[in-house]
Amino acid sequence: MKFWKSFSRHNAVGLLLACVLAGFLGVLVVNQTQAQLLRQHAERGAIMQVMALADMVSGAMRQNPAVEPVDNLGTILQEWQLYHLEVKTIRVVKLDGSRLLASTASDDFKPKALPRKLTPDEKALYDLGHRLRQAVDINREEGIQRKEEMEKEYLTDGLVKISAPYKIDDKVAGFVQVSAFLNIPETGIGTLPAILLAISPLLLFILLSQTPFFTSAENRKSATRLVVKPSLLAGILLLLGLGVFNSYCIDKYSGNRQNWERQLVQGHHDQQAQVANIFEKLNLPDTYNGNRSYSLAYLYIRTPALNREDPRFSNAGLDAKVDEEAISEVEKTETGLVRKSLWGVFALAALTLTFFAVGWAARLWNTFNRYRYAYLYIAPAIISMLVLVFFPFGYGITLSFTDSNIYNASKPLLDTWVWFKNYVSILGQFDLFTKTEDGSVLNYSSFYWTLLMTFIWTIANVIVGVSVGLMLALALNTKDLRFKTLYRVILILPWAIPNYITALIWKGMFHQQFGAINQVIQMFGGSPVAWYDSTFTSFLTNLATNGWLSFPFMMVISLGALQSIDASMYEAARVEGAGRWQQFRYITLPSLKPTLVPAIILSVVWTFNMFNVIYLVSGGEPAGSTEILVTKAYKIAFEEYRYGYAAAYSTIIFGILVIYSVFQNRISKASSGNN
Amino acid sequence: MKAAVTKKTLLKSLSVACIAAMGLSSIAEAAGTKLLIWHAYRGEEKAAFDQVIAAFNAKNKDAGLEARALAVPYDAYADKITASVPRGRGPDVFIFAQDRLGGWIEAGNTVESIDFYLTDEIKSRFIPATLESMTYHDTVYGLPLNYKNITMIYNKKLVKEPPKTTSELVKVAKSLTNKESGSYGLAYEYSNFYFHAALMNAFGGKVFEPGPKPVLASDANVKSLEYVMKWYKEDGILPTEPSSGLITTLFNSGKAAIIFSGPWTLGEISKDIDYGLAVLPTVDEAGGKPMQPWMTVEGVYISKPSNLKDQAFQFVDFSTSTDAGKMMAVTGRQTPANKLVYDLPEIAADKQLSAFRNQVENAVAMPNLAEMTAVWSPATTAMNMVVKGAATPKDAMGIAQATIQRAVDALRNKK
Repeated sequence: MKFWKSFSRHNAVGLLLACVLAGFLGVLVVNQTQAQLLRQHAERGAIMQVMALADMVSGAMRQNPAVEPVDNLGTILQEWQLYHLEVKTIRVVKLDGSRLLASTASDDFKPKALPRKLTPDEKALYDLGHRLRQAVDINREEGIQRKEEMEKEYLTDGLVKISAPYKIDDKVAGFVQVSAFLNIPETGIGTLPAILLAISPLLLFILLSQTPFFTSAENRKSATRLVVKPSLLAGILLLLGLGVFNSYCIDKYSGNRQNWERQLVQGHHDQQAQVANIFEKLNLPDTYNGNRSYSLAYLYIRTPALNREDPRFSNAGLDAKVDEEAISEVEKTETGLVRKSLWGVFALAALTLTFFAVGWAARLWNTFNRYRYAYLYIAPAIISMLVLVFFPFGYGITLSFTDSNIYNASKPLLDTWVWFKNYVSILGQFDLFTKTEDGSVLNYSSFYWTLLMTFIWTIANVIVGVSVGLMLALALNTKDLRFKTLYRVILILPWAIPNYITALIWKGMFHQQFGAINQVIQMFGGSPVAWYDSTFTSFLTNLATNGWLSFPFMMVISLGALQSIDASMYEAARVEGAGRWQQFRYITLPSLKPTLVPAIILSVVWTFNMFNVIYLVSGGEPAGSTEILVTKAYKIAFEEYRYGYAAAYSTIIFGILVIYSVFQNRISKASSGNN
Repeated sequence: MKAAVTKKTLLKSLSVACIAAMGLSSIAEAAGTKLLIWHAYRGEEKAAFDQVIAAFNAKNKDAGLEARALAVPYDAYADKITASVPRGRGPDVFIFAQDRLGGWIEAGNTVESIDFYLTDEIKSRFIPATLESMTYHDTVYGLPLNYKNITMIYNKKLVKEPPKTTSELVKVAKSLTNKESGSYGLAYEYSNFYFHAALMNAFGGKVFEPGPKPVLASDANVKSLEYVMKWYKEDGILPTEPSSGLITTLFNSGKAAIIFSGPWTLGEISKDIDYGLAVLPTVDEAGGKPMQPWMTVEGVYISKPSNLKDQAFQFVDFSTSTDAGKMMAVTGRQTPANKLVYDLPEIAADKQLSAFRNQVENAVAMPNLAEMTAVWSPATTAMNMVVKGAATPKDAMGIAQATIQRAVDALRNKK
């Protein structure tokens, strides 16, 4: 069959792969998101129940906190289990004296009858209790809901263990731990839509490509038509198929949120009734009743920055209502997220199709086949580059879109996702001046000041490095100079010593009292300079150190280039009557250019990110004014612990260097053309 | 044919490499109950700690428990803990000062809470403030090993009786100050926030209120700064630009009668100087409250991912016992946090150790909040501004407080 030749075949394979990929990923995305939401929803219900129970326990405990066994505690637990068949075991732990007060798990009675002290094996329970107390204390202190005031742990066989603190006099006195089966309804899209998506566009493609429109004789003559027509067809089919699939998925996905939230509120009301029933049945006095505001934090959909002063925390929960507005808002963002990821999947599929349709896939396969061994041999390099370079690089860029810091570093990155917030706040630091009573002062913590400082630092260093290096090279290039090799070795030494050692030595030399430099100044009758007290002198210390570190490189490079200049050119120039300056200007400099330019380009990159010198010599003093971008990024990451912000800083540094390297390419092209 | 040979050789060398790697790792892992302990001690402190390890191993030989110590270079130590412990690649026990504790607790999966193991007997053997520095939100995370704080060091030839109050101090210091010859009655790093904290605490100042809310610009802090400026400007008893090097030199050349510094200085004092140690004076201007220096406490912590927590606690307990404390005091010249050590006759006779022991009664634990690292740089800037007269204490501290507040807000997500 002619069909299976050339581009139609590529398109068919591409279309199949794209559809399978899109169907598989699409179903995965929708099902995962939905399962996660359902789980969260079920968890919230279970947590509310545990908190309600904790409230009753607190009521029982309040009667007479010191007496054990606590009156009615056991019966309350038993009654509770009658209402909640999904509950397997309940434990009540008191923090003071670390006592296990009551339990419905038979294993807990083994070492000794209850109530008893926790055994060494039960350290986890003790620590859990103190973590909960800490969480409540910290949230109260900070005035925000930073920590969860409960803990959950998934066990095997579908059990979940939820622990919630109970309070006496508004202080956490212990906690209730409930192991229960979590009732998560089974939903989700089956595999059928994905299979349909995989097959139908392909079948249509095969069918349609047999029509005369594609197979006619004149079509076969024109190469363009032969390529374009099937690709277009495949593209349209993919768009159609995925359009239908995506809207089906979103349709299936949305619209449940309202129901779930209603169920939760209903569950809350049922619970109130149960509590009242237990009270009546056990004939408990009203003093057993807690304040019943227990579960409210989990009853409502939580907004990211839920404040403790939020009325949802303090209002009594008897007349809890469904907050329609918040629900529809949350639902909208959630559906939007799913829609976005589905279109992301679509983009991926389209890329796959293009990859095949254009014939890249075939070409890639062919090259791979032909150079199999070559690829095998460079595989270690590829893998190590991936692991050591590209992964950290990609991770850093991803991190820059999050608000990750020491407190939330253990959370998944998506939970702290903030898009471009870090970039906006870094690039928006236009407040170069801060106003004080005596006028305005330069704001050294502004990004633009640091950027300016980095540029000045780089340019000044290159100028110092090149001029000193070139001068020494010219001097060393003198004919018949004695001990030339010795000089060369000595002058290369600064380069051979590790730069942090050099940096620390220079820092010592700039010390106000004992530094060699001030001693020399004093020897000539000057007064000692406090080098790190003003921005300018502090900058000079950095510059001197880095100049010392960078001239040997420039010297070696220039010397090599100087020695390769043909001596006959100078001879000819002298015959023509050119002076020394003219010789230098019109022969030496142009001949040095092709070697010097790449060296300068390299040294700009090195200097731009010269962390050691700045960090060790001036340390950014005074007041962070001599900081450059890298050292600033380091301080943000390791003194302020704001990892995401620091990553954004580094990404901006990377961006600047990318722009630079684009220009650099042009410059080096120009310079080589000149030659 | 050729290709086949290459392939075979390649496979062979690969498999050899694999086997070698496996062999290596199995040797490393074939161990009994071995506790791995990380520390950053060097010199005599390391020798003392090795003694402690040896004693522990001798005691637990029958139980088949063996502790092995690994000295990690200090520069990379904190980062190494942060990176490897939460991923389960760290030691069972590690030793570090309290300043990073809060950060590690908040980052999670690093430091095990040891509250559960603590009996009253264990708790009561420590100097209270040292145990407090191991405590974060009422939970104990480690046991204090040694502490370091500053105290008064005076030249016995110049000062007969160490001053007990600041009025006495100023009087003595004024009589011994002669700016022309470059002698000063008192010298200490007053522009360094760590050293200034002694006065700040005397005036009731603080760095953080609960929240954590930075309160550097509080009235008490401002007063304490104005007070040190009075020493410097009005009384003229302090040298300009104090640095640790300058202070040691002045003291060694007999040009500083009294200095405030920590145990780290003692090794640098020249043999010709006959010096004595005394408790920092009480501050008359702060209602007779004593100067209370900050102390840094080395804690011994159990790493959270460790599988040998019970055994690890045995070591934590042993290393803070009186026996171990004695070794560290005698061999390592350290100041143990275990107060029972100071009752031992040979330690009680040691003037140096008992002097620091007396001072620690009036020492305050430096905050162990993660935000503390964000304090140093703004505080240093503010102190320099005040000392150089570039800003009033109130303004300088106000700027520092605002900077720290921003850092705290960014961290704790308060908008």
